[in-house]
Amino acid sequence: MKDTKKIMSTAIASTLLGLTIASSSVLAAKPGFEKCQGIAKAGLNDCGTSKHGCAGLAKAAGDAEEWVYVPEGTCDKIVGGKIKAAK
Amino acid sequence: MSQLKFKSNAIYGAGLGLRASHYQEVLSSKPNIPWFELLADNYMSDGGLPIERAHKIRQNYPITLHCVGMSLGSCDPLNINYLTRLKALSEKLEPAYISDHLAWASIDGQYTHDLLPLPYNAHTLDHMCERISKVQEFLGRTILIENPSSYLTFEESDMTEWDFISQMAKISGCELLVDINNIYVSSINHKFDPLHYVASLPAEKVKELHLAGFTKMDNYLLDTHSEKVHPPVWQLYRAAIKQFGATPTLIEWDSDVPDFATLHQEALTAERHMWALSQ
Amino acid sequence: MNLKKWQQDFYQGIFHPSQNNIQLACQGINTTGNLSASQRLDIYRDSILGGITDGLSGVFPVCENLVGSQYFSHMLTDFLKQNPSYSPDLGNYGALLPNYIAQFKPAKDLVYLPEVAKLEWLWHKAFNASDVHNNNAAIYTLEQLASITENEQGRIQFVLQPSIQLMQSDYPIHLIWEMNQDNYDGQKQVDLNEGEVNLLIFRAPDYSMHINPLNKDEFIFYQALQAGLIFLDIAKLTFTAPIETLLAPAIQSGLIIGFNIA
Repeated sequence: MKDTKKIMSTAIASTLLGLTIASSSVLAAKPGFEKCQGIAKAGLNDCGTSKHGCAGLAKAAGDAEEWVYVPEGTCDKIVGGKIKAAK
Repeated sequence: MSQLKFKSNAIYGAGLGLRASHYQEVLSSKPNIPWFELLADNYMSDGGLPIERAHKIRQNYPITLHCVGMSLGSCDPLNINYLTRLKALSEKLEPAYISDHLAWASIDGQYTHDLLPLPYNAHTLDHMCERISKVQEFLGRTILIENPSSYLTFEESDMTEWDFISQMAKISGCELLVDINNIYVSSINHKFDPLHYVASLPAEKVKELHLAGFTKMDNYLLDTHSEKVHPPVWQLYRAAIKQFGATPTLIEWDSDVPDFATLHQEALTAERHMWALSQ
Repeated sequence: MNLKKWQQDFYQGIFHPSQNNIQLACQGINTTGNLSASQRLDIYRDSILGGITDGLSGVFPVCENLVGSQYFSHMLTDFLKQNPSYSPDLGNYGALLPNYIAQFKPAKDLVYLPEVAKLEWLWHKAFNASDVHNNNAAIYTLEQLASITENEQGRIQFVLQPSIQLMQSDYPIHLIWEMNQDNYDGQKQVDLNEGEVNLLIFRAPDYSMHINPLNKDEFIFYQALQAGLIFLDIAKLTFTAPIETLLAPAIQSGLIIGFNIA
């Protein structure tokens, strides 16, 4: 049986102790990665800025031929895991 | 808003539509652009970087807020959530103008994210005017309405687009944003005289002009905003300046957006025409 | 012509272009000039579907990169038909795409694709989430933690920073995501057998975006916080490390912004 009360008071006490130390971003210092992504993230509604597009989709309407669904991107850089069934 | 460094919200000369790829350059080098147009719909999330940048831009430049989401011509009820967010944004940014289009974008609550055409007749005129008046009342200010580019016309239209727009401005009290490129594109697509269109508009209502580049397709012109302003559009622009005077003008470029310098050159060209013809 | 009826017909003619729907949408459209009414409708269909597809490319750039833009845009055409956009802001559209991809038969071998889509959607949500200063949910500031008595400690309900998103995947999707970013110069392949990953996605106060892998303890801890559990219930959960090693970093890094007393 855990003494939850003690767990809590210890946790809060040591956390408060930590707060007095100049706070550094622990998570930012972790391995993992950060990105300044989003700096040039497009305003999505620009697409509707009173302009019209010509994506050539009018006829496509979802009844594409099989060959369309051969991935042509970076999928080929992903290996392994083939035995797993699709979710 | 008292903390705005750039207090005046009056606009003059040729401004630019602000695109995400240019934020950093604009904020770091503070180019000598008289004003920027911000697409209001891009700043309606709860928070984050775009909104922060909009505030920073506004601290240095006057702005206008241009909208694509009012869906004024739709038979749906007005979207109060959208208008509430727009009003809050407008109170923070104090735009010189708020504008949207003579078009519909949604039906039964389903949005197409596009600007779709309307038949021009008395019924549509009543409908548009009633909704413009409601929006103006809600926002507590006059809005500008822009003429769309279009690719179809209706058997039931019994007015020209220019007559419709002139009457709409008169009845609803709205003002006008005249897109010169849209007039030209539609004039080719529907075979009317673009000069006559411009000459028929009520000059005192015209507060802003738009310029952009179209793409030539096989049988029609497509309003892509993906190129420089074409020569016949510059010609029509000169006629518009002669008639309306030195009206604040915006360069729109949304696909294949070029570097900032190219965009700036287009604005300077517009200003040269503007100052030469409006003396 | 009833305007509302025509707008409904037009919508159907765009998104569900059967012969009959196209015919209805074309009623009342002039056929003068060198384009038929249905060709004019096609121009609008291209523009509308193209515009929304561009919008989704902006939210799911890694998915598009993985399968190529032709695959991506064709995959979307049925999605657009089945899932209308109910907001004027295109940025609110796309929440259902991960589920759609999971059911999309041609992509069934790309087992990681729906999970990458989910990661991109959560990234997008974090990017647009409310700023901390707008958030009034936290009543007490963290400095006030010291004045909470031991008897009250169990009722503390920590409040997370509003941009925080959590997800679990059977595959190292954070590496797939990273590999598809501009200027990436890391390893050339991702091995799915590296296995499952727990991710924390958030936007820092300087607006930088972060995707951090969490260990099991951390993931359970943040999940509990996100679910609004009181501290007493969190303390009862099973962690391999002492709770202060989870709580202190969460507070110091600003991921916990305050607390309530339940």
